[in-house]
Amino acid sequence: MREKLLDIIEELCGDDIVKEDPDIDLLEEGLIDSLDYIELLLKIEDAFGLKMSPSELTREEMATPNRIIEVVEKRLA
Amino acid sequence: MNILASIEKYADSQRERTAFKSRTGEITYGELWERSGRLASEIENRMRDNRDPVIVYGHKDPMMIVCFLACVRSGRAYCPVDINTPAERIAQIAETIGEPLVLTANRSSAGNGIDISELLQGSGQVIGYEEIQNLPEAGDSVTKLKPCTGDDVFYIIFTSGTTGRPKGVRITTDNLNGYLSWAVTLAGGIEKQSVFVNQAPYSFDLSVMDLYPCLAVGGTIVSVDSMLQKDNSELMEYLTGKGVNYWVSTPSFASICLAEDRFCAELMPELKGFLFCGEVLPCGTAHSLIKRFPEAKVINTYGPTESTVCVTEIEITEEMAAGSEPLPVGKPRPGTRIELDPETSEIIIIGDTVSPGYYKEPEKTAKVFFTADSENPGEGFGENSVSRAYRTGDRGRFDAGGNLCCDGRIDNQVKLHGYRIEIEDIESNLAGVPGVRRGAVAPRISDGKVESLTAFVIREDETITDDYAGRKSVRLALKEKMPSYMVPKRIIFVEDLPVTNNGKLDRNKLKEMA
Repeated sequence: MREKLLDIIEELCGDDIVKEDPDIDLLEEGLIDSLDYIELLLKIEDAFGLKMSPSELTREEMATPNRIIEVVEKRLA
Repeated sequence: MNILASIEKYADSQRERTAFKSRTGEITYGELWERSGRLASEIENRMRDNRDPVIVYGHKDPMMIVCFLACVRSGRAYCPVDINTPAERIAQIAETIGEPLVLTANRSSAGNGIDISELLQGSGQVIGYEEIQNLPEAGDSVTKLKPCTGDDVFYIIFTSGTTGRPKGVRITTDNLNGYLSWAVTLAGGIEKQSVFVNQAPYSFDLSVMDLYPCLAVGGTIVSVDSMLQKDNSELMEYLTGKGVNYWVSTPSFASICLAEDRFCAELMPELKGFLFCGEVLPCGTAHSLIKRFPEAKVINTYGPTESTVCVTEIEITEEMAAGSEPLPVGKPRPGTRIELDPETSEIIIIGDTVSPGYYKEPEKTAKVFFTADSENPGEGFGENSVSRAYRTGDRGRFDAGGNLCCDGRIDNQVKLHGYRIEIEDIESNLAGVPGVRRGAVAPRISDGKVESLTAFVIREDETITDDYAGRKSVRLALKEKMPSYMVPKRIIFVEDLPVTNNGKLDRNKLKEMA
């Protein structure tokens, strides 16, 4: 699951740094914008059948690839 | 200018002078005239009332030039087809002509294994390389030939459209001669008996920029074959001691050469000018050339195949090269007028070098060619003159100095998240980022929709590091120059950019790479 999610994030950000350094702050680094963020949630839904709406998540929770993985893992468990 | 008369004159006054050389051989003016006369008689004998254009198939062998001249001396247009052309495309060209005569201007052992006779499937005929070489003296029949003149089509070059069938651009004898009268004045005037470097394959009209101006001044063409173009160090060896005066190539090819440190004034001490056409000349390339060849002029030109090679020119100064992209392409030649479509800023070329249209394509011709008249036509036009005009599809504007600048294609536009984005716009900003030698941008397409943009960047040095920090710095630098929706999502560092057989940036390949 981790790999699959990292692939999705990499595809969205266009840079493999997200795999090399999964603690990188996506928004701060300009790797993701609000449009990409919505896209990310849609792709997570497609891939894992997990529906998440932007309002139920804080920016902090979804700031880095590792944190995104954590959130998705927790919700799928 | 009457190019055939000029060559004939040199064939007499400087018989033994080399007109053309490449790695497969060389030929003198005397021999060029003699052999092309023999072949012209043979063509006339075979074709008689058939005035169809003749396909000349080959690469960079001296026989290529013999064949070109033979066709036009027999009163027929030639259609150059390079050996690196895919078989399917050659078949399309042959089909368009009908039952063509094909002259094979390269040794059968060379080439990419395409059997022309097989390709023609019985419709048409072939004269082979050995046969051309062993033709008997023509005698009197040469004097009875009626060479191309005036509105007779001199050559037809099939342009490489991205989709559909290739279109044959017809260039008349008057078009070519009109172009040449001006072409020999470039770079302060082309001196007699100059040596020209040829890079472009003969199926690309950039080659006309070296071939005929060179022959018009009785000079020598040093032609670089495609294998040699892929081997920088071998190429430097080859150019050593050739006494090159003028360099004609795409900017992409010059930029490839610049990767070699030996590519500098010591290699070509007698170089007087670089003549560029065929694609945008990036500031960085111009700047490096000016630095490395302080004695040579860098001439930027502009024009589509449809108006005979090029119609504007400007000498690029160090100051311009240090300025912002894109470099201007200059002012029109006498006999050409440039107008901009008031709505789209499309560049319209009017004048005596505009083609009469595409070969056997009246509809496509009517779409982009028209007749323009004017009471105030400008230098080189008669009063109340009526001229051919061509819509280029290029977007242009005039800068403060009255020089034309090209801002890309009116159709090289992508739509990303609803925004209209000009690819060239991003590229010129990219080229202005410190540490970037060259960059190209391609859309990443999925399900026919542009999903994001990818920038391919050649780094100048370690100003930009080859890691995440480097990629980020390019993105941030671009963000300062343009709206963020235009900043390519992916930054990929590369050693070089893909080029087509013609030596232009290969945008289709880039799309695949994106």
